[in-house]
Amino acid sequence: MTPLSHGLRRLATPAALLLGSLLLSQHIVRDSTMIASLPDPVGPTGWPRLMLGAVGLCALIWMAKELLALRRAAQRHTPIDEEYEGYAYGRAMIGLGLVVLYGIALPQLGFPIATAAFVALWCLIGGIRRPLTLALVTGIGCVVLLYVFVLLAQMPLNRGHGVFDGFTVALYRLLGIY
Amino acid sequence: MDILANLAGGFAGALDPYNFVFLVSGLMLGVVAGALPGISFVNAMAIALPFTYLLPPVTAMSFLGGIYVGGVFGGSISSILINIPGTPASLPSCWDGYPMTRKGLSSRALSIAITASAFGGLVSALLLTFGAPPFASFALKFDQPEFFAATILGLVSVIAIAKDAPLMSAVSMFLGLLIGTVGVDPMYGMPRLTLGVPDLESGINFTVVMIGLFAIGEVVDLICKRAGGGRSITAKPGKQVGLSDLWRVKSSILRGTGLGCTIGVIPGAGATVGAVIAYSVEKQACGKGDRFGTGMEEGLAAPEAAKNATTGTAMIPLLTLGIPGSAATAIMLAAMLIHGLNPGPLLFTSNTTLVYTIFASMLIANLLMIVAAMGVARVFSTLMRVPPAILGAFIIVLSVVGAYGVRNNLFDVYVCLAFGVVGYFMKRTNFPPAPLVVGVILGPLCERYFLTSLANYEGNMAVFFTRPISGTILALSAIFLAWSMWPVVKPLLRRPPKEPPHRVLKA
Amino acid sequence: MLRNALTLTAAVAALLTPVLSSDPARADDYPSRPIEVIATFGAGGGADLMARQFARLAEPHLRVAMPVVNVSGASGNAGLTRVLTNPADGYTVGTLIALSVSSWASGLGTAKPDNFVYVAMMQNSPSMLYVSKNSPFKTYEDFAAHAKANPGKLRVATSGYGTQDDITLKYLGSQGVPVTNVPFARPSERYASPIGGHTDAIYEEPGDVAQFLKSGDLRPIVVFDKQRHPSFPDVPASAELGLDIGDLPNFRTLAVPAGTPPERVQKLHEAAAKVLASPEWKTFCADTFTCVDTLVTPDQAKEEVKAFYETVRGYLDRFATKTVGQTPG
Repeated sequence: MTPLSHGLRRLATPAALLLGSLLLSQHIVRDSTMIASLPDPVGPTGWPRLMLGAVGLCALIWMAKELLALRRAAQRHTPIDEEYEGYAYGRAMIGLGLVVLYGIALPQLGFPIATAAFVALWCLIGGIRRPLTLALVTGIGCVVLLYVFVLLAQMPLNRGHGVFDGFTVALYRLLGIY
Repeated sequence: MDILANLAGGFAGALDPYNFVFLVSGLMLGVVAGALPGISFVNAMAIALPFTYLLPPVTAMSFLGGIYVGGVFGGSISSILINIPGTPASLPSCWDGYPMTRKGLSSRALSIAITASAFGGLVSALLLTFGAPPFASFALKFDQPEFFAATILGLVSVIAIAKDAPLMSAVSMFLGLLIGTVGVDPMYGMPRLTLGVPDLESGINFTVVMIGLFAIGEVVDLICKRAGGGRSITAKPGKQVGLSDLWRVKSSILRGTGLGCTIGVIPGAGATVGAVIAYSVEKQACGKGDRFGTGMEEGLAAPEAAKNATTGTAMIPLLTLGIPGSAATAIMLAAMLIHGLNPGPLLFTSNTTLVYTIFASMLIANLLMIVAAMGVARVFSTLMRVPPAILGAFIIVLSVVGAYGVRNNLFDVYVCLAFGVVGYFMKRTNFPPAPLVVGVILGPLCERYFLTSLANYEGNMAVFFTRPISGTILALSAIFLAWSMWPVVKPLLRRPPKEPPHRVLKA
Repeated sequence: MLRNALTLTAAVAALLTPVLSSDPARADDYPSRPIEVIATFGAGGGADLMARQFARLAEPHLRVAMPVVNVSGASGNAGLTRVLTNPADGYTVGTLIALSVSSWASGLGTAKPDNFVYVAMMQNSPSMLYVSKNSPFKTYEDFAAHAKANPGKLRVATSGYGTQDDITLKYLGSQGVPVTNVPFARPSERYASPIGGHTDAIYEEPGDVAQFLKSGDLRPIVVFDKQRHPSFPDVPASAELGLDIGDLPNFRTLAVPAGTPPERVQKLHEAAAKVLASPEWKTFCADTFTCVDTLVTPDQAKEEVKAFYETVRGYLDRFATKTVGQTPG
């Protein structure tokens, strides 16, 4: 990787922050005419505006620092740290994707089914391959979670939609929760 | 010696087998709930609330008090062992506690943390017993400008903690403050930065942000480190601590306790702010500040003492004035009201036995906590032998349940998962997440105090500097900032800056 | 592996099929599983206490568990959204209080009074103005005279701009009693401010400051109602003082989504009626100064809520309060 592309990549985060804060400062409230009618000098937008300004300012300083470092690095041809090898980035992406999927599935499938599926899949990508271990961990883990959070703590965790709702209610009746 | 006689009665009440059993079970429940990543002791107290209807008032309060005391400590167990704070107040315990674990000193770290916490809690409970009325009038002297100054001190502390990357910390903190402004504003109820999403009107909860940033980011990182699901959390027992070791960190514990007791009495500030301020003060005061973050015992002892030292004094405004300063004390208020007890000055005369039983329970709870916490910590150390994949899966499920349980809102789960993704990338790029969480906690408080102060003092900004207490705190904050930034600023003044160290992307 | 997990799920599903086919939503066996009671504000507040007392006392009548769930945020609208999005099968009951209704009137939230069926009017109380026990003002007249002589100098702690509190203070201003509104979003800070001497008075309903009334730290000087409150016979009603602002009561109802089967609403209403008649509830409402004299039917309750909504809208137009919403509860 050349020092320039590396430096540009490092500029991306502060640049994004600066752009983001500029964009957001135009959309603090739905209707800015309401703010203008208030007698209050600070008002509801004063504080967010201040914070956006602070984030923007910090991002500017950050960019300046990176540019300075970039110039120096270009002059001296100092080697740039390469990324750590052997780190399973691919697996991290799968993991993050799975976490997000879990969140999406939760209201649709209901807590019990979504959780069981998530735990099983997570263990699979984490390297647990023995079917028995997998089944036991998923089964016992989920039943314990259900007893603790649904029966004891009486949390209104999602039961899912349609047929999944029916399944969850039936499962709860089977487990003696309802 | 009216108090002593009353207290003796209180002890008799607290040690009554029925009450005692509930106190101990509350304590255990609190430590476990605190230690589970994702589930906070406030969750546990809210969940326990319906059960307390069935109990007599004294028992109910002992039970909740036990959860409170145990829970405020419990969060540190997961902070120290797996670098995931169990509760927001245990955030600073990650900074020097987890490095100790990585050095193989987990047991030592846990012992120091437990002792410091118990000491802080005990002193605080003693203050509650003997100093409640004067402390209460001290609390009433605080008006909005003073609260504002105190939050500024908290924010300054966050920057002061940052050793080599004050800019990154500042970016992170301001982002947190910005996230804290999302939702309806405190004065007009106008939705801000919601971008048309109705769920954002209720704002973004700091616990949800913390769970996402720390727990999920950490767990995802964990499964990637070594192929094949090998163990990467080290939980070697390490050397036990002796009394002489504790004696060495005594000044840290004392400083933390003092700060914690003072901050606890201020409504709204709470354990997290106490712990953060204590950590940054300790960094400046103990003389080894430059090595903080590498597993310094002082850096663990001070915030630990401070966070439990807020538990007793936080009860002072609750019991003497009926003013809950935090979510935990609000739940205690609910429990008292449902039992027909009205906290306030009259409670001390009309329900003397009850009040002193609560005092005695708090004292006993802090002593028993040493045993209870050691036990739970041992079990958790064993749990660390579970393959990281399985451990990680359940940490994520608990995080989801915990995020959901904050307001029983699925939207909070989405927010938590989104911050989990952000947290993972922050971790990979060494972007500090802690200032962001503190920003989300303090931002809304800071804004509210600022605006209410202006409304109450005719829009006069000078009020923050002219009122003696707030002026003093603000001056202290300024001195503190200058002091901590001096090592960074000094070389800049003399010659052009040296080449900044490259951020190293390391595993 | 994955296939095993799927097989397992399929097996469990097959086992459960007979259970599934007996539809749990049949009316005759209602309620057959726990009824979720959503408290639309955080633990320790008035709505939360009402939900918890109701759940505790109604459980024996309905013979199912009634877990109370706090879904707080956006003036109660976060919880009400939950009530509306859950199935209208009578297994979700929410608290719906005056504050949320007036927040709709000022433009917050998307709900309207017609979206709900009101199971029962559980609590109701007027608001009052209090001063601390050391205050130089003995009566409302003292207070008003001082405010007239020093416009805007007297500070009143309230819950925010654009709220019932704000409307009342604006009304006082229009009657020649100009005071400054100091919003405190956190109730606990609001109560502490007059006691600590940081503000001159506080606007609140009596139940929320009961402990300070009993200890004498706060002293009521006027009830904003048409008649005096039976628990405070010495405190003048606003109507006696020539103030026409007695129509902003702080009611608390229990609500289910519109579309809930009427026979289930009736079952809930009967349970609520039994709760309201119980001695425990009588003590509770006396302690919080919120007793409702007569049991109102769901239809009457709806009329009251609608009337309140229109009243608030009228006031907001009158005082040209362009701001939306309430402080987060």
